Amino acid sequence: MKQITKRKTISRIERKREILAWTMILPALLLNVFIMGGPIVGTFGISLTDWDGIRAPHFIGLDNFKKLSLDTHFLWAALNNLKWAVFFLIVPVAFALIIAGIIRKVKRGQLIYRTMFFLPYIVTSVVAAKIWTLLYSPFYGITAWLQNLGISNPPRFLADPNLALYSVAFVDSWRYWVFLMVLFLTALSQVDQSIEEAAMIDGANKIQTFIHVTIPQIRPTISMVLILTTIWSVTTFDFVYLMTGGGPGSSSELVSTYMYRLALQNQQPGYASAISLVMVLFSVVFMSVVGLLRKRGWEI
Amino acid sequence: MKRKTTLFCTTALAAALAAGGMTAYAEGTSELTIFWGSEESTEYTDYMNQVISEFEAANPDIKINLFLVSDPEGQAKQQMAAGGGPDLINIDSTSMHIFASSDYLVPLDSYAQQYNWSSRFDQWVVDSLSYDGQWYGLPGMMDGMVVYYNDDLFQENGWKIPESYDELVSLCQQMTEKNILPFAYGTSDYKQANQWWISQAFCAGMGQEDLHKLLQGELEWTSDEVRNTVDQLVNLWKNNYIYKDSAAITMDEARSLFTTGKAGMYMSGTWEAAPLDEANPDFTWKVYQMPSWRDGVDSVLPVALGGSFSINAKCENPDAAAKFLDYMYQPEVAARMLAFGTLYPEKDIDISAIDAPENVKMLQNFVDDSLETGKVGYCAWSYWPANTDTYAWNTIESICLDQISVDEYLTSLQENFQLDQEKGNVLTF
Repeated sequence: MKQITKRKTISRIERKREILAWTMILPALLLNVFIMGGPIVGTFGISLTDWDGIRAPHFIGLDNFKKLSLDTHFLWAALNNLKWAVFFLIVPVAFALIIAGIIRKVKRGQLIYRTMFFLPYIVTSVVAAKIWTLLYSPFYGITAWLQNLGISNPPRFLADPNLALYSVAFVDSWRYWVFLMVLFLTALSQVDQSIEEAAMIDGANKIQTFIHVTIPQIRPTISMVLILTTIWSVTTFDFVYLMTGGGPGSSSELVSTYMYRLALQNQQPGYASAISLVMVLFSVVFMSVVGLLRKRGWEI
Repeated sequence: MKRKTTLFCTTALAAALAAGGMTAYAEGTSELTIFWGSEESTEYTDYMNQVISEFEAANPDIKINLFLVSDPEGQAKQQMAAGGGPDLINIDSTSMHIFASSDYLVPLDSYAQQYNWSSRFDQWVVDSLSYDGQWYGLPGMMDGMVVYYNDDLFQENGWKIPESYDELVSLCQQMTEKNILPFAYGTSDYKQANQWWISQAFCAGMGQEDLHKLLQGELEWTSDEVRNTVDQLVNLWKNNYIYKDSAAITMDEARSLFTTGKAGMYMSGTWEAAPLDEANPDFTWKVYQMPSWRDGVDSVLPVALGGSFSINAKCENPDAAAKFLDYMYQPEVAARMLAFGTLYPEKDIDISAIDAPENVKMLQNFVDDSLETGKVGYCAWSYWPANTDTYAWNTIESICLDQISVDEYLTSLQENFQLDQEKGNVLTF
């Protein structure tokens, strides 16, 4: 009898705690529902119409999604997003990891290095894009400089259709890697140095220690960075919009720039909404897969 | 003491605010809003502010609020779709037709009668700004597409103004041999500039009659006439006669290629006269009209209305808005635009009486002459339906880079035109 009463009391306390927890998160939850949920529902509604942004919309069912599956320009843009993601998962991540590993060992003046490296990140994307557009200019920039050195066919960074996407990705990663470096530095500061010292005593060199002892200890941070980078690669927009507008031709077109163009220039916000939902869907599916793998014991 | 001071300051502030408020919002005052492009030249914005000041002085019961925004048309469109928007709408005439067809604009016929606007503008202007037999806007400015050329260079080398496509190609070859870029061109900061070459090519390659048929749906976009025109344009670009890396340089950089003598020609609009004069090149520049690219077809000057002003259907005082429009485009007021290189299509403007740069006056006469003879073509931003136009300028680079074929381009243009027809976007003129 006593036990039943005790259990009842515990369950009442737990329920109270649960209610309190829900009460605490309710404002944030409501904000999310209105700020995120409203537009998502609205976007979904618009995606089922032929709305041109001005006239009254007509319901057309899933026609926009059917059209999307046959849209070669969309597939082209999606392929560019994939190239962008691969670039970002390798170049800035590897660079940030290596530099963080080196800076961590610097005893004197570490703060100066950190501040110096972090400078590009405080430059706004518009300014950074403008600076690099000038640097890439065929008349004043790197191309002209190489020409003056006697190189007859220097790279045409923003004009060459095979180079434009990577030229822009480089500029974005020029800002992005320092952000990653700070994350990695924070993670590295938590690493148990005695294990590294043990590995060194056992004969491992610095590189071996870093790869086999240090990196496994910051795996959660690396996983988080890779997941975030993948999702951000799907939604990236600013540098391509500012530096090439998706050109030359459609060489550097991304799904987001294509969607923007459809919505604001081509009078097709209905179709653009369908594209934005596909982008959201990709992120949701990707996060779900990551969650599922984690549940199954994958250390990601 | 402190309390008294605080009380005095608070009372004084309240009184000042009340007085200020009374001045700004006197009873019976109509307020009108206009979105104005923040990227317009300082001279043009100053002119607009001056016109507003003059109008407000003469009409103290009307106050005009000019808001500088980066994309007046886009922002007006979004606000109007949400049931708001500025009172006076500053947009391209193709968009104006879409707004008019959706009842977003006030028909201006009664005001046209009241202010006798019909007598001020030629019929082509009225037609360009009408939808379904009703008048919806006043022109913002007038554009003509011309070829600017370095006259000194032409004379030094004995080059002649081309009179056919073959002569144009031959001239470009000769320039290239001399290490001179034939046509300066840059679009990195304004991809819509592709409309200029598209308009020029379609006018030169198809001529007035066929282009008219095409834009009225009497000729297919997949026809040989269109295909030849696109082929000719792509040929100029692929041979680097039109600067091939245009996507990597800005319009200003393109202009400086011409003003520094690195390029022999610069195909652009009549709006370039003032910036070219300002750049003060060390040579004399002149203009010529692009020759016809097809045998048996007359050369035409592509013309357009560079934007138009309409009244929002939600405007609370359309009479005041019409009164301001009427004032803004009085011949003697509109004529002042010429001083900073903006041409205006109004009959009663006396160019000789205006204090404007000679080159600007020359261009106004150049366009007026073509209009008088009727040898004019149709610029994309004034006459082409919205979807077709957007696809045309957005995708043309992809053909030049072999990302899509000319056939695919033409088929998509035809599909976009059909979509425009279904939506009622095709202008009847």
